[in-house]
Amino acid sequence: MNYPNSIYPQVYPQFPQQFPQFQQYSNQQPQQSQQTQQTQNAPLFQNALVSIPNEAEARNYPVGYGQSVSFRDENAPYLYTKTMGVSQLEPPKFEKYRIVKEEGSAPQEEASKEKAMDLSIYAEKSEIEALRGDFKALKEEVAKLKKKKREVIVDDDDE
Amino acid sequence: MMMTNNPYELLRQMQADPIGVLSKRFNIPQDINTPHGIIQHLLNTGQVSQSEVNQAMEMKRLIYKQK
Repeated sequence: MNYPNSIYPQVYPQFPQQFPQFQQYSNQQPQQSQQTQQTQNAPLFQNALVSIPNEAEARNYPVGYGQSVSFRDENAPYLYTKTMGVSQLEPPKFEKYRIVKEEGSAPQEEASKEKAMDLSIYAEKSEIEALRGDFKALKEEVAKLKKKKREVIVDDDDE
Repeated sequence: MMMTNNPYELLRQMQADPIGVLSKRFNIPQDINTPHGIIQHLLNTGQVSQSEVNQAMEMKRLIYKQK
């Protein structure tokens, strides 16, 4: 006998509409198993920071030629990197970085600084104009005095 | 030391001289006899990768932490 492949939709055409939750599960199952398989195949410690108790441990850590390993200090806020040269002739390069925690983000800090700005140190435009007028008057006075002084000197020379 | 295919003989050799057996198996020179030196040699000769060493060191760290 030849059974059609799509016998269930013909017999129970209402099934997916009546029980959408089963349809959801049947679609989800293969995805979940695929994810589990990917997690099992992924290397656990690759591209991760290697935890070490102190700096000496990081310095002595075995690293292959041409390889670089990053370390995280468990007892101090430091990160280390050890990079080996491609041959025995090149000395290993060891670097130490200190971890500094930033308080809040930069834009918020700037905004708070603007809010806290002291406006008393600024003068109004009318005050600036008045000062400019006073300065101009003083400048004229000084010019007059210089002129008078020059005239007096010239008179003395004539005598 | 002669390597053998007999499992009992191999076990006996392993119990008697574990470093000797492993050194023979991984072609480690006799003057290298510290764990650090052996790992470095295996890395340098490409017998193990850096990620495998990292994995082993992490496992060692976790085991010692539990103890």
